[in-house]
Amino acid sequence: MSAQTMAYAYEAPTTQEKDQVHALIGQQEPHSGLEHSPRAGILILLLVLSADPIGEEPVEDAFDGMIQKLAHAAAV
Amino acid sequence: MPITASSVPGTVEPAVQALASELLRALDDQEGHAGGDHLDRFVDAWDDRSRGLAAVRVLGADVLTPSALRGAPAGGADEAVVRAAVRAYPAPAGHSRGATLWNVRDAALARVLVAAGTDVTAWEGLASPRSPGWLPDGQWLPLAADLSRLACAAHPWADAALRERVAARRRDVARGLARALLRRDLLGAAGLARWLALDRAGDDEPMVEAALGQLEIVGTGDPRVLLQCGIAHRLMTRAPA
Repeated sequence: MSAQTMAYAYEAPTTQEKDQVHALIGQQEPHSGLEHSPRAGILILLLVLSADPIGEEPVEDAFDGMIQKLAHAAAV
Repeated sequence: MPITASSVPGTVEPAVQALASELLRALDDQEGHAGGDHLDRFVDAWDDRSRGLAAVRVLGADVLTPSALRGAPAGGADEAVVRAAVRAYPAPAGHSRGATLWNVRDAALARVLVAAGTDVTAWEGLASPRSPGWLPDGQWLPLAADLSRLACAAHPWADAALRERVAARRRDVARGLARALLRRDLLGAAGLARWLALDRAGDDEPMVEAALGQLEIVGTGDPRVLLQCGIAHRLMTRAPA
């Protein structure tokens, strides 16, 4: 089946093509997977805590603030 | 931390990437060597026209913005391609979040066309324009998520009310940009940087240029990211309307 728009002819798109267009337009942000895996977050948290951060540094600031990043990723 | 790339498997995404590369070349073509009607040539060169038209529909107003920013609006053949793409992939009806997204995108497309003197009132498949009341109030995260998907609406001919709404939430847009960069959501970050570039207040926001510089390095393999960055740069250097 072909369609005509002004002087421009084209084959009618397939359902799959239409679905892909809708998916690409409504494309969500990529995700790390961590936010969907609370167990993985907890496991990493335990690993960080067991690593015994040095001195009086708050644990949430240790290792470049990894715990803060994990908490943020889990929250959003 | 491993990041799952967001992609839509199938035959349309490669066409979208190829068209984004073509548009990036057109954007950089200062002397106009690429000539007009590059959309027509692009779709014709594709093995399946409907796939080429799908790419045109996905990129929305961005298929016309590069040439319009260079002061060389699309020719009749390119307009026919855009009209065919709109007809082949009509906007969904209703008032869902997804339909609203299409409304805003199509309004942005229509405004570029109207600025070039095209009458779009009889275009089949084009969503009817809506006021920017759809922008989420309060929380910055939904706002940033919506705006990152509507980067094609960030152009000099954008609806004034929409621009005012975004300008009033610049800090939240910047928050979204920082978050997207941290999450390596390159396309989302580039889109938000483009919104910030559109109505940049001056040199008091060094984050925009730094973010664009970073995105151009890490996004080398993604033409859609580079196209957003290229347009954002043009918006920043463009004289205010």
